[in-house]
This record gives sequence, structure tokens and C-alpha cells, in this order.
Amino acid sequence: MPKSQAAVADLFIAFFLFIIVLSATIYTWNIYITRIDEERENNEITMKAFQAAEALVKSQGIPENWSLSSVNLTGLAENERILSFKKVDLFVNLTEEQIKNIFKIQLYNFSFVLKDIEGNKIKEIGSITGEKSVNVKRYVVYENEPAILEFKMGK
Amino acid sequence: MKMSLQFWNLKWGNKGFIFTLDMIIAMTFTIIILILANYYVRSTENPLTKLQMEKTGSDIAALLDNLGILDTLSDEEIEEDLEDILPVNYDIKLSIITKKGITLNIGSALPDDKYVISGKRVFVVTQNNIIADEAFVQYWIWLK
Repeated sequence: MPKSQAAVADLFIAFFLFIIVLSATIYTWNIYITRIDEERENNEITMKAFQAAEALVKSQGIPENWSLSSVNLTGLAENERILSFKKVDLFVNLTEEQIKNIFKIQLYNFSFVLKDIEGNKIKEIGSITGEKSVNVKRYVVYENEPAILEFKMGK
Repeated sequence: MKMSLQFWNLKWGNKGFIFTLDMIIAMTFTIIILILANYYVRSTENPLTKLQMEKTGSDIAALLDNLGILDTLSDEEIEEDLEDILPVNYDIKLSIITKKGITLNIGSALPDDKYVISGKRVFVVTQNNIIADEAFVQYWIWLK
């Protein structure tokens, strides 16, 4: 009789500890999954923002002399990291939906701001809403002066 | 031996306790592994900082080249312009070496305890619309 009691008490203790460990493991697992998901999403936003900014400052666009009605890729450069006044002007006259479609960022919000080196805004389009956002800054030449191109993306 | 067996004074002996002790040891190991895994997942660095730093270094070198500041080959002038252009949270060191043997070292000394990104840009020194020399600028950039 005492032997069977010991076995049952032992089972209860072991089962209790097992439940604690199992709960801790499930809780931690869920945290990891959430964090990995967040990190994947952050990396995706970061990569897309950098790719878009890179295309804007280094590419002339496709076609090279793109216009509001015919544009496949909006590059703003007349030379690498030297922005064309005309293309910047065209770019801010595109609709936000057009820009999102061009960069395949339909799921995200974006904002484009061109500032002089002292931080005064020269041109801008778009706005950011939501909790997550990534801000990419590129240093360029605009009208023979140093300027900062900021491309923000968020969700 | 008999003394130690009776130490816990359990009426069913110590067998069950030994089994539980095993469980506690296993649980301790599991919790240690979970805590370590949690620490490593948490300490993953944000890739944006390094990527932004790399792009800033490359942009600054291109900007100095595109604005013709590097063509002056004057360390004072380059340093002065660099101060205006460089974001306040960054520090930079430039080393310019031309084919004709001019060497310029501009900016701060390299830190030992910070993450530094380096890159190189080749450029042509143009003076009075004539190609005067060929050179490369190497830059090292880091967060202050």
C-alpha cells in the first residue's frame, strides 16, 4: 500500500513539473514565432526601402526619358547620385498608387522627401502611417548642391 | 548508509524523490537552454544600421567626387566641406592617394572599439577641365 502511494505522489510531482516545463516551452515558442515574424517583416520593409532608394538615386529609370504616362521604373538620376531636376519634378507629380505599383510596395505606405543639407524640404510626396517604419537616407547632388533624399516605408 | 537513507524520513523511502530530482535537473537544463536561446534571439542586430552606414560612406565619397571637392586635393578644403556634408552622428576618415604620389589623410583617427565600414572609390582629378591625375579615395566610417 505505501509503495503504490509513493508512485502516485511521484507521478503527481513529475506531472506538475512536466506541465510547468511544457507551458514555458509553448510560451517561449510563441514568443520566438512572433519575433521571427516581426524580424522577417522588418527585413522585408528594409530591403524594399533600400532597393527603392537605390533605384531612385542611381538609375535614370526605364525608359530613360520616362514621363507621367509611360514609366516602368522611376529613376531620378542623370548620373550616378546626381539627381535630375526634371525627373524629380515628374516623380512628385506621379500618384502614390503609381509609385507603389512601380516599386511593388502596394502593401506599404511610403514617403519621399528631398531636403537640402540643412534639412529644409525641397520636394515631397506620400505619408507614413502605422507602427513600423524604415527611413533610408541617401546623400545626393541636386542642382549642384548636396542634398538628402529620404525614402520612408512603413506598414 | 542506513543513516543517510533515513535522513529524509519518508515512509515510502527515497526512490520517488530520486526520480523527482532527475526531473528537476532536466527541468533546470531545459530552462537554461530556453533562457540562452531567448538571449540569442533577442540580441540579433538590426541590419538597417550597418546598411545605412555603408550607403552613407559610399554616398559621401561620391558626393565629394561629384561636387568636384576631391579635385582640389587640398586637405583643408576637403575637411571643411566634409564637416558640412557629414551627418552629425557619423565620423569618417579619408585617405586619398593619387597616381602622381600625392597622399592626403583627412578626418578622425580610427576607433578601436567601434564597428567601422570601409570602401574605396576611384576618381579622375580634373583641374581646368583637364585630367590632371588619377586617384582613389578610401573611406572609413563609423557611428560616433
